[in-house]
Amino acid sequence: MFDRSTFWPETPDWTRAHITAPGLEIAAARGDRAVFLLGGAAEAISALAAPCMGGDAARLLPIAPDRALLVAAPGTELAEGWHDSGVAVSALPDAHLRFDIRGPGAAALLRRGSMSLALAGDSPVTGAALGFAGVTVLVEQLADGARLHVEHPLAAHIWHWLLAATSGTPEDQS
Amino acid sequence: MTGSFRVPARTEPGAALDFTWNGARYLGQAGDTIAAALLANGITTVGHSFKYRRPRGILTAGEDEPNAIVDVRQGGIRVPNVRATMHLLEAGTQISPVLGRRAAVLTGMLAPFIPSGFYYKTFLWPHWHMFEPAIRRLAGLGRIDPDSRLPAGACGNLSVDLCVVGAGRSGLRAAIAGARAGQSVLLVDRHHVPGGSAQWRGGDGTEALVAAARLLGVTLWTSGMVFGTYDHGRLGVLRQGLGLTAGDGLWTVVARDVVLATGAIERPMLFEGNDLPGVMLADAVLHYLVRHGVLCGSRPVIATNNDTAYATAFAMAGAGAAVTVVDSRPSPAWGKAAAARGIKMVTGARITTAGGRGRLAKVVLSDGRQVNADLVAVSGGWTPTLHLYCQAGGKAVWDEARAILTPAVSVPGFAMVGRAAGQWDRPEDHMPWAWSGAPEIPETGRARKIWVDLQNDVTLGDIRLAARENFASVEHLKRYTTLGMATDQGKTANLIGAAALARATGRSMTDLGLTTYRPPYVPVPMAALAGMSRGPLQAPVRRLAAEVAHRAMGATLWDYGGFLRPAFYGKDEGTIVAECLAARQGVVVFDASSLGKVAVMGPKAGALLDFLFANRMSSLAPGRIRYGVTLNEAGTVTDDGVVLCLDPQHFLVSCSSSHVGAFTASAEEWRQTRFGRETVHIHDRTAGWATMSLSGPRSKAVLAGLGIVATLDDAVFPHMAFQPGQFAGRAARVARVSFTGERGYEISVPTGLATELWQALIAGGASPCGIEALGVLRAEKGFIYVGQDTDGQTMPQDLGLEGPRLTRKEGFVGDRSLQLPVAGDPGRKELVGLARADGGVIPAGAHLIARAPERRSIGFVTSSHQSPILNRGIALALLEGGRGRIGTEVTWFDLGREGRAMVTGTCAYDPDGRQLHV
Repeated sequence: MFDRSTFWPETPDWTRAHITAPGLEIAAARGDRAVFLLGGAAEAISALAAPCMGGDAARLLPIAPDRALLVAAPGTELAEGWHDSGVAVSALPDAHLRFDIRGPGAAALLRRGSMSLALAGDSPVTGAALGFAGVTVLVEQLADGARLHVEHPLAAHIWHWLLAATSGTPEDQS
Repeated sequence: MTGSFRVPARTEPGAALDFTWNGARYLGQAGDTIAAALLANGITTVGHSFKYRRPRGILTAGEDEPNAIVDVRQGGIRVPNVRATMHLLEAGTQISPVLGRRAAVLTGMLAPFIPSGFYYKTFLWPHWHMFEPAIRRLAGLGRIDPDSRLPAGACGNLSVDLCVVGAGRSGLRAAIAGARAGQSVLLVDRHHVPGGSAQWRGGDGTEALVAAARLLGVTLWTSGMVFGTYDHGRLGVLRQGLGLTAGDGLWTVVARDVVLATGAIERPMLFEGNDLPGVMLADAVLHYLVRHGVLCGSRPVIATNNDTAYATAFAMAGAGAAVTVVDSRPSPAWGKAAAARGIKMVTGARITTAGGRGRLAKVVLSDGRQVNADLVAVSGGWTPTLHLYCQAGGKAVWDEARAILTPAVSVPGFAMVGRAAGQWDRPEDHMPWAWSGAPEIPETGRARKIWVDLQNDVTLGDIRLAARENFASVEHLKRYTTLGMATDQGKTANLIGAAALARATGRSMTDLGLTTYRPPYVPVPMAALAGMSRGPLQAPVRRLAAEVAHRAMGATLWDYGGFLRPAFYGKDEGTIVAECLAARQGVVVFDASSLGKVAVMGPKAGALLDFLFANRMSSLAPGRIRYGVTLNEAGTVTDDGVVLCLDPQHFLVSCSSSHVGAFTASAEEWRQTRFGRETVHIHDRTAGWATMSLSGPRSKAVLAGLGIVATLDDAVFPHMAFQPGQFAGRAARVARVSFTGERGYEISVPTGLATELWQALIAGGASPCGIEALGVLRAEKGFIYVGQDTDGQTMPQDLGLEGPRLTRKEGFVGDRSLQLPVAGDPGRKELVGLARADGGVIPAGAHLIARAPERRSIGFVTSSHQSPILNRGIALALLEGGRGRIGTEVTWFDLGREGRAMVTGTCAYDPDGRQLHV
């Protein structure tokens, strides 16, 4: 049997994963936020999330008309399951890795990875769920770049894509 | 050899570059295209034609080139089918033709007997496929070198207000106007230097226009080819890298407005021997002379039906060539000016024949005169380049008066300027300017020696033959003769081919119409299409959170169900046996994090699950687990898994690893279309939780050591139940389920604790187990893999699950199909076990054979293994009327081998399930 452990590059050590390239800083983080997937009417989601929105870190990322990802300060609590207000809640603090892509070169890199971001130009993207490097990620726009919320199982792929895109070296490692 | 055909160029000569052609060394200059460098060294024959292997030379100076297709090696990279007219020469480049003289003599002799449709007509009996391999070996262009991996050039996406295609003067002006209006502007040009044909046709102020465009912030991409227009204003752009080793990059550009300043393509002229090396387009000759300082001939004959070729004549005469102009018009406006420059003028005549052995030596004119020549530069008029406009939904029609194609309808967001719009700046001296003439189709001469499509060897005779055989539509002509179907897409051939068909069928060009323009305008290398999506970035697998730990334990990894998972631990497959025995006799831990964890929440959660599963789930009590299967509308089993009830409005579905996406999508569709968005929601939590599956007689003891849950007492924590717990201070959940038949626990923790939990279980005494061992263990128990032990027709009753068909009353997905007569057919393939009397292993995939009344397949082996615990082969199979055959023997057949096997029940190990409670 072939061993595919050499074909697929190793998953990075996320505690130290960092990319520095001209005009770019990319850092990885995980598990340091309370994260909830909320399903329900937009108004109900907003109402349920409102008390959790304090602090600079809190974000409500729209994924679909009836779905949003609430990123809140550590320790924020919401009961998992069905709420009488008509909102379904899933606590997913570890489901995503966050990649902060910052710097003057961030916009070009993001456009390279995502047709949706390229199309948006300078306009804010209304939905956070976007295709990036061939998979769906959640994109939170920052003043000097963007934060990608990548599902844990796909984080290695996005990271290796970012490495290839910023290194200028051939991507074919096979 | 040096570039002996060089004359002073308009620009400073570049540095000398060495290269080889067919192994011989030559010198070119920086800035040369490969074609320019070959011409500068007097190399006129650059390959042989596709069908008849006739010698061919360089015809053009652009993407319309049909002949100069070469194989290029540079820096360890080998690229076949490079268009020599578009690729810049690099130092050390090794160049060779993709079509050499192979079979040239034979096919040349046979040419008169190989007209259009020859293959269709000749190789009918006994079957085309008998001949196809040999013909395909003879056909084709360059061969791919599997050891040569082209790099990916820079690629990406770009959004602009305005994209201008073509950086000639018209394009530059359009770009500048857009930038001045405040638009973000992208200007793309196929050449390596902006300026378009003004670079060789002259035109003051081009450099100033380029500078102004840059100053106004116009983004200028040279060496860029817009090859297609697609929906929603998307343009495909191929950006040539700086050298072969840099690779080509594919860009998607979205523009609100597009201006096409794509110019026009010069048309060849038709005469016998018009494919000889040494016959070139007049504009290309001018291009090579002015841009590259290459004089393509010293005794040129310039044949034309319009005024544009006079620029070539004047330039060549100025460079010292003895020029003869043959103008088919009786009184060309530029005749006197030409004569004043010492150019020999022949008017009201045309070339009927070009002759020479292997390359041009002379021409014969329609008035019978013979002229010795080493170059024929032809200009049969111009065709505006409307490909992108047509791809965007535009329609080009023939303008009889001007002898050009013109856009007939407007396409929102698209505009044409310059020659593409049928406009051409008049030359500075303000003389009358006839820049296109109607295609001239010879009425006499040997039509099978008059080439229309040079790359696909389509002659005027072929077109007339097609017309005689009633292939009278241009679309039929194209398919019958292959006119315009080569890699140049007939850029120099389509229009004169259509004109020839119009003449042959007595119709006008307007009535005849044109073939459809489709992208890509030029061939796009597969390496550019792939871009970064290659190797590990091509089809990403998902990763387990504990992958590092698995690697540290020496796991052999493999892609299973879209996840990279441990196949077994170690590099020797023999460890699979040890892992199986450890599960039966001790305790193993298996990383089951990829199993689905799909939450269904809301007042109608139970109802939705009842509808999705073939068995009821809403009756499940909190804390309990139930196995179930899902079906599609045809009643076919699509997945199996277990459902956990957290509370009556909150369930968790643990579906198969590879079916998470499909299950979630299907559930979401039914939720939205049948149950309403407001009463139930579906969340895929798979990424948020890691699951380690502990299995074996000692699993309870190992789990107890971790203290995750309050109690492991079987009385309160029976099989198919679960409990919440705590691990490392965070929420956890332990489910008592088993896919091995042994006592088992699935421990789920937040993904961030995956490695910690794995290591804790290993430290507690569990040994690692990969998916290969799991496959054996579950097969011993007769537990199925949906998709492996089922096929596209397997219904629940075929797996022994009769309830959905016989007893369940309420509606669920697939229920009606279960009531069809075919669902009760006693001959359905049913899942059974097989065992050989000698204990051997039956090959997986082997067919089960009936011998009478006819020999046929009555089923197949779906899973087969050597069972370590039973020390014999075990197998599962789908067999017609399988359960009714239990206790009988069947014949298996695999790749010529046959044997006998006993049909058994599916469970080969511990059929009473005692091990679950050990």
